[in-house]
Amino acid sequence: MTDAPLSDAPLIEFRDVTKTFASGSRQVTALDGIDLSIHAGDVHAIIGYSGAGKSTLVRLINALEPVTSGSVLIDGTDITTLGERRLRELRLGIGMIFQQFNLLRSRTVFGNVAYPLKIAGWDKDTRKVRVAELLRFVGLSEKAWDYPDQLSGGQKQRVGIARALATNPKILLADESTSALDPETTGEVLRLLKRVNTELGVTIVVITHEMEVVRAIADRVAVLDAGRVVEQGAVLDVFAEPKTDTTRRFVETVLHDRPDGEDLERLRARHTGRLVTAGIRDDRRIGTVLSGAERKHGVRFEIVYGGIKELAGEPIGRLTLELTGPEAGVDALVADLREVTEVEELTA
Amino acid sequence: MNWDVLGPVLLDAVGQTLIMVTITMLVGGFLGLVLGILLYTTRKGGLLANRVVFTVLNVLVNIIRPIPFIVFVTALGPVTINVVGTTLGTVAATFALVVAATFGISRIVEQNLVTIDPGVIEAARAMGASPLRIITTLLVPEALAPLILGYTFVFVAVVDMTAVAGAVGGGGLGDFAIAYGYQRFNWVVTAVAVVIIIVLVQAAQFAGNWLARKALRH
Ligand SMILES: Nc1ncnc2c1ncn2[C@@H]1O[C@H](COP(=O)(O)OP(=O)(O)OP(=O)(O)O)[C@@H](O)[C@H]1O
Ligand SMILES: [Mg+2]
Repeated sequence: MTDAPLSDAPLIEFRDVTKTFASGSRQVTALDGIDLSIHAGDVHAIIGYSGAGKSTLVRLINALEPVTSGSVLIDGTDITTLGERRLRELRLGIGMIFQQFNLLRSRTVFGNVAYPLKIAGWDKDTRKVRVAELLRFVGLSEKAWDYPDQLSGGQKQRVGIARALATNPKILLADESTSALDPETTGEVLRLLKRVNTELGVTIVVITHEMEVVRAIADRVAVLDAGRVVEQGAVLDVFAEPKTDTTRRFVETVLHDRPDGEDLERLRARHTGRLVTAGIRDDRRIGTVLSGAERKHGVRFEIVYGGIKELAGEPIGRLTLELTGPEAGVDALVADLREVTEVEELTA
Repeated sequence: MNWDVLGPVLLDAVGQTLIMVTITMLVGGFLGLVLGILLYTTRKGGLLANRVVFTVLNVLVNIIRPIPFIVFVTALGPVTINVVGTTLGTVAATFALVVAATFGISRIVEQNLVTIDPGVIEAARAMGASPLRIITTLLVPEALAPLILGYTFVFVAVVDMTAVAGAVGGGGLGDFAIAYGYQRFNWVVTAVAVVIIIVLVQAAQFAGNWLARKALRH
């Protein structure tokens, strides 16, 4: 994503990381044998349901919590062996934003953004210049002397982002940073995060339970389920061919392309022909095959369900087709379709 | 008995009360703040979580705080002798006031700090702030308005306690009202003392509310 040459070594690496919490006499395993690499310049999403261990995972990157076993490497340094003082230095290079923004109510927007600079020991004049620059970047120059109470949710998160970027961190951790916002504001904040990635070259770890967030800004994604990474890869690949049920359900929330449950029953009741679902991607075009269907096989088709979205500039989704005609013709058409894309039969 | 004679005595009493209250609020206020912060930060999950320190402090505060001040003053006698050399007089009374106020204030401070959103503290930790920095630049400013109201409440309680200080020869308005009013059946003198105390308390409450509002910027 950035012009800077990407080295092969990951910027953040989890090696067989386990994290357990003692809750009363019980042990809760929040993370169970995590292996994960996050590369410099990427927007890397971690998606999972509530309680999957997402927040726990992200808090290990800046060592707000210690690991139970395994190691976390940042730029090749194992941070699990560092003392508290070294960890504080490490944290100066890692920004973090939160679902509830976590701004200091007693300080103005300016004061909030200047706070990490004070911690980092910047003098007053350089602080002033830097804060002004950051507020310009997030578009809040006019709000410098307002207090957080006086801002909307989206504005608060923009202050949070300015604050997190103050010390020029290489890494930005975003834990459910848009979950408290309405869809429009979510889009605004996501676009800002994307700019942080592309214009400033900051590597972003995005924690979310919304696949739409992954679709909108992530390059890579890891799916977390019950403390394990069940699937990871480039966003496009994971969307196109989800390998686990958890991932499939997440993909479905964005693409709405695969009828199941009640939708499928309704479709079957309404359509007597054979129902098949065909994957759509840039390099998998079914138009040519379908346009010859009637002439070649005596089969007619109707599009009855489906969704196509754009992902990383490419179309992706599925269409459900009702095919009517002689059995052998339908079989032949399905075979033709299979040559250009993946096809799933929906009729029992 | 006339006001030519009583006037200067009353003035003395007012002065003694003001001195006792001021010193108690300053010294006890500071020590109570420190103790309250320690209670808050050493508790489980706190910035300086330390089970032993927390348990010791917590038990100590729980034991001392509920003791009625009149009993506390006398019970503290041996300690007072060692520290100020006597158990009588304004200084001795002030010492007892400071100790009692420290423990009382510590709980109020702790209770107000608990209301701070833990997320804000987490954000500061994520920025690389040390516990000491978080305590000085975040905890107190974030809880300032309720802390001011808490200290105002304490101020009124301290004025009340100074009246008891008369019992150990501490002087002050309470002593004045008892010695010249109650014991000599002079209701006017008692009423004057009462009015002065009311004015003092009202002024403090007014100032406290005003400051808290300013801290909240509403
Ligand atoms: N401090 C803690 N003490 C005990 N258990 C904890 C603690 N923090 C997290 N857990 C447990 O670890 C598991 C993972 O929690 P975590 O907060 O990482 O989930 P999450 O994926 O972020 O969920 P959500 O989407 O609801 O934020 C949960 O079962 C949770 O109860
Ligand atoms: Mg979470």
